[in-house]
Amino acid sequence: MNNLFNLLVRFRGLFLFLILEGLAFVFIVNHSFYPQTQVYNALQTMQNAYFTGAEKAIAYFSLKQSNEYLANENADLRNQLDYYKQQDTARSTFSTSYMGKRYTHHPAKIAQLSTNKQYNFMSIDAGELQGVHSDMGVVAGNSIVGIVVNTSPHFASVMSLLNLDFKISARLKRNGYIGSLMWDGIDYREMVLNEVPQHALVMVGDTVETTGYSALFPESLLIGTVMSYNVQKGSFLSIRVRLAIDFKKLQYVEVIHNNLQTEQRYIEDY
Amino acid sequence: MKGFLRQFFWAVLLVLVQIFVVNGLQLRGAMGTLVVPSIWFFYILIMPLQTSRLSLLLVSFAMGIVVDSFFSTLGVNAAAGVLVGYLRPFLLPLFISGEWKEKKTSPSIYTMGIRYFFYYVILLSFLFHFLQFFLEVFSFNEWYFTLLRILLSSIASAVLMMLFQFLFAKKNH
Repeated sequence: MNNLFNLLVRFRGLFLFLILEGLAFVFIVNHSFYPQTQVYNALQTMQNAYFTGAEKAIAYFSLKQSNEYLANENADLRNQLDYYKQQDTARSTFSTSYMGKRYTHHPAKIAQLSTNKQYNFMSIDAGELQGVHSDMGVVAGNSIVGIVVNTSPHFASVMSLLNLDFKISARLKRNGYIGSLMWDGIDYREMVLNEVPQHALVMVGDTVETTGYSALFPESLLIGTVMSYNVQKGSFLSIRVRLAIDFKKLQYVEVIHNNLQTEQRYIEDY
Repeated sequence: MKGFLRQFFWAVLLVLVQIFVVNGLQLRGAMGTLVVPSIWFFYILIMPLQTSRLSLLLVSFAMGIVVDSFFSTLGVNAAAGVLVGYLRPFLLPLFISGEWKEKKTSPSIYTMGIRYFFYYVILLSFLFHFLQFFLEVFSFNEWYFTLLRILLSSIASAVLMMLFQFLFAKKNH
């Protein structure tokens, strides 16, 4: 017993080192993707309160850019509205399978954002009280941004496209060929579209868009354009996609709620 | 008491610089993921020579947790910082001459000389980023890419720390 005590005293530096490293390791493992502890939520709220403050100052300096962005978006929406007005009068006599509103949009502002890690997340200032819950898609304007993974009452944590765990199906607008889209962890403006059949005709500059298969995002949302492509081993194309959005300029996003998600998941699982 | 306050001031200042300045560095394209410098652990490097091993470890851990809580990487900075705090007493004697060891002073360009201080800073930066980046990706897949990030980031961190030292180090210290 005495010897053990002597040993502990003699190597107290090493023991404390191991204990602290172990503790940090436990934090990392528990924290990695779906942190749910109260401690985390408390920290998150504090941190978000702080970053919302910092963001306010930053937002002031980029008012001009934001205004341009909003003006563009308004114009875009008006165009779409006109288009649908025409469509509606043309087919008002048809009945669709779901007459209600399929998707609901919640506006949100980014509270914190990273682009320089391999697993990037962001937090937004809309949470459970605004009707945001995990597994909802997040978009900016007409392009996709990420997926909600965790929520607190006032904030939500979003897995960004720039995350090695992010994977979603996407297609080429030109011919509808489908592939699987992911980030390779290198450039925050580029992603990779894999598993596109080799016989698909691809050209640099082609639009890549969402498929609507995932129940997270509506169909035909913009992802980016083709930068280059090459043949992977086997008979598939690997396409480098230049993202339409610049994450470093992102400030406002919208969370998309698919009102039929539960129903769609239910029928897909059984 | 005055000495303690001064130490506390430097620790807080470095954490603030890390949060507001260093993490705000905007590098374009792939450089943004390749060069991710850290400066907060510079405080661990310049803590007074007579600091005990246990205090080094506890301070590193506490500062790491504070930094982590701001960047949703809970544990990563703490683990890397604790490694630096643990290795400092073993590595520092390699770079500092015997006569300084007895005095009440901190490692700096004046006590160690610019060259040896730089070697000391870059070695510990490398060790810090080595653990930080491997814990962040949590896999050895594409280890050469992680290693490239480690190398570039250690150089960037070491340069920032030398800059910090040139700006604030006092001769009479």
